[in-house]
Amino acid sequence: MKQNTWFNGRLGTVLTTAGLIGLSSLHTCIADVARPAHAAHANPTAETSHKSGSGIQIQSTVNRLGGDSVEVLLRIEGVNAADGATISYTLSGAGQITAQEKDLLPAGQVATRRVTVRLAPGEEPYLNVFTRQADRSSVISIALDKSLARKKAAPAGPVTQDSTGRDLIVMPGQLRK
Amino acid sequence: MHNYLLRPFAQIASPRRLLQAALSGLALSLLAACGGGGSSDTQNPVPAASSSPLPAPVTLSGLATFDYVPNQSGQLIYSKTAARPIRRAALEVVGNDGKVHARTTTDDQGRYSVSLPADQTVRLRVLAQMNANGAPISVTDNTRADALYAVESPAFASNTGTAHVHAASGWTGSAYVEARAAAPFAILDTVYRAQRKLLAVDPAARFKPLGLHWSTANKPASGNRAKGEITVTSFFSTLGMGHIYVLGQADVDTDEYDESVIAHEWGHYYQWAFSRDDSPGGPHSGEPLEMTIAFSEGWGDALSAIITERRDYSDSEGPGQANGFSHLLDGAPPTLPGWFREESIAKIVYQLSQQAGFAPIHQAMKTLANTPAFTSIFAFSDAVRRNNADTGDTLDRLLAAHSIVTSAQSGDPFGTNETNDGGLAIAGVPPLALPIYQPLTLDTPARGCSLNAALFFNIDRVFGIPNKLGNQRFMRFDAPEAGWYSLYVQGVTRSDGTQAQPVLTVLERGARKWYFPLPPPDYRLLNLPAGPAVLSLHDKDVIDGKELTGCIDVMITKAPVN
Repeated sequence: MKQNTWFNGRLGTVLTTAGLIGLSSLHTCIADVARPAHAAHANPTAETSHKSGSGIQIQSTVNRLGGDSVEVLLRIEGVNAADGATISYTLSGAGQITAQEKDLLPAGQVATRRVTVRLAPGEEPYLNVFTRQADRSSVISIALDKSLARKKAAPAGPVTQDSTGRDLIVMPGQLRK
Repeated sequence: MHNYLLRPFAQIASPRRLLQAALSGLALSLLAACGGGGSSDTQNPVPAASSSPLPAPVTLSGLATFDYVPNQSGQLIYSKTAARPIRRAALEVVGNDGKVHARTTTDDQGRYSVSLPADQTVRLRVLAQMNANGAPISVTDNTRADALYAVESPAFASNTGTAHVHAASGWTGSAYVEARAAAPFAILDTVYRAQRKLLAVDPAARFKPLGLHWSTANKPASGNRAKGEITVTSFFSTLGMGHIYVLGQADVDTDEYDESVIAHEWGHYYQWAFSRDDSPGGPHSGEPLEMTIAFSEGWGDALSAIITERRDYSDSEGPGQANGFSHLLDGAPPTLPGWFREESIAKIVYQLSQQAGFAPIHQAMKTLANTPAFTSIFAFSDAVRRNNADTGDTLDRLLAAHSIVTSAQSGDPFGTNETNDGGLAIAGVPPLALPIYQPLTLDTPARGCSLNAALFFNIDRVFGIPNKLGNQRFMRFDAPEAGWYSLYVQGVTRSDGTQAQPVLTVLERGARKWYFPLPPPDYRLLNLPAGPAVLSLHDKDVIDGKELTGCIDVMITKAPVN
């Protein structure tokens, strides 16, 4: 996917990642999701995601429940295949999905789904939502909680500097003679 | 144009440095990406700082390889993992003290050969970095300050004579347990093949720098790229440099081995570097699409198949990378084909390549950079015909099969005489799809409308948002003479009493410029050359998701001369 230039124009120069501040051209842009809002403390936040593949669009709202639990409310559009679509979930990071609603999405309707997750200390949790329609599939990840101190995922290798000062991630290779 | 100073790879490793090099116009005369053997300028040992006598040099040679995991029809098939050469990548021989004893570049078979001091304990280090006719290409980790990936062998004696280094996938049977060392090189290899495909028809092609950003943390979440929240594998450009961010989170969505996906994004890089792309970018699922994005994404699919020499587009995802999808590009037209369908564009361009080769397609895409129309299948077909009538005839047969006006019937890049409206016609609303460019005449008011009608839901037509057919209304004005013109734009009051908020885009000096709502009535001064000028209009509320039809009145006049 080429990233959306429309939002870039609308929001002005917003790209600040990768040390590229101030260097974005008109073609430079953020993705189709203009609102970076993720997750959830007391106030619900919303995120819109469109992804190619299944053609299904999902809006999510994450609400903090009591204790370490959150609920994710999904609004699902774009199911237009005659036999509908399917939706399924996995969790990345620490926690456990404790409840989820049925996985069939009827055609021609805006559907809603509710998923609850119990969080646990550890890697930052994301709910992965997989959709499939007419033999095409998509996935989006929804950040669930940023408020707890989280352990980083294991990196691919240490960042080292070589003799020129260049930052390298040196991964172990095999020697074959 | 880029002129580069002769500098070793080591000094341009990071994207920041690549960018600095690109921005400062520094010249880098490095080796071509393809053809010939390993580099010759770096095979000599790097002189040691010490003044003590060096041992006699020895030759060390071997092969650099990586694990390639095939995606045959949507899923990664780990059982068919095979070693592939790491081609045209920078390779260093490093001592225990970190000193680089020799540098070179692997050849097109992944081979290297260097001369270095004997009796040294050394390691082979291959950098995820190459160049394309002088333009640097690298794979870095966006979650760790874009550090450059490398794979390094265990230590061995420099007198060995032959030593091969291999980057493994890290897959141990049911999961990625070990370092995913092969991933950056898999990405690099797809780009290598893309470059090779282009250089075969255009050996002097001037590439632009490209940064490939991959991490095991890259996930389909929106937010902070430095955390891996990249939304989707995608391309964007900054001044003088292209960027492709690649998904990498295992069991969710990884794309390093999805060569279709990498090559598709390289297709967008190609448009930016060698052609032109007026697509707004963004989501493109659900059809019919706005014509510039239909062409851009269909082009990406087609070029992907051309580069990878496969007849499908395949993308894996899910637990174990065992899910995904695949669709064929050599099949029959889709249901309700047309200029607004990515699938039609993909099949047309791919099938043209099978019949006429890639050279005329590349020539047409280069021609497209200067088309007075927005980039679309119409501008492409016109460019093909203008470059070669026979290829134009071949293309026209494909266009006709997809219910698209042929280049012979149209005779221009504007889709004149197109009759396929994609089913988008509403009683009482001015035409939303046809003609492709609504004519705009000097001093004559015109009305263009944009639509978001998710209610038009059925299997093959989703007239919603974003980037759908009907969201934009294209217009064409033929300036009788060069000079300044005033374009007045006024939102029409809708049935609910609110007023449409016009958003205007104009093709100016070969780039699509966006103008956003201003307090009405809005007008823009445009300095136009004599001849055709194109613009598009839409109602901001339509694109923002309101289900309505928003109409905009426009009129163009000659600007008063002071």
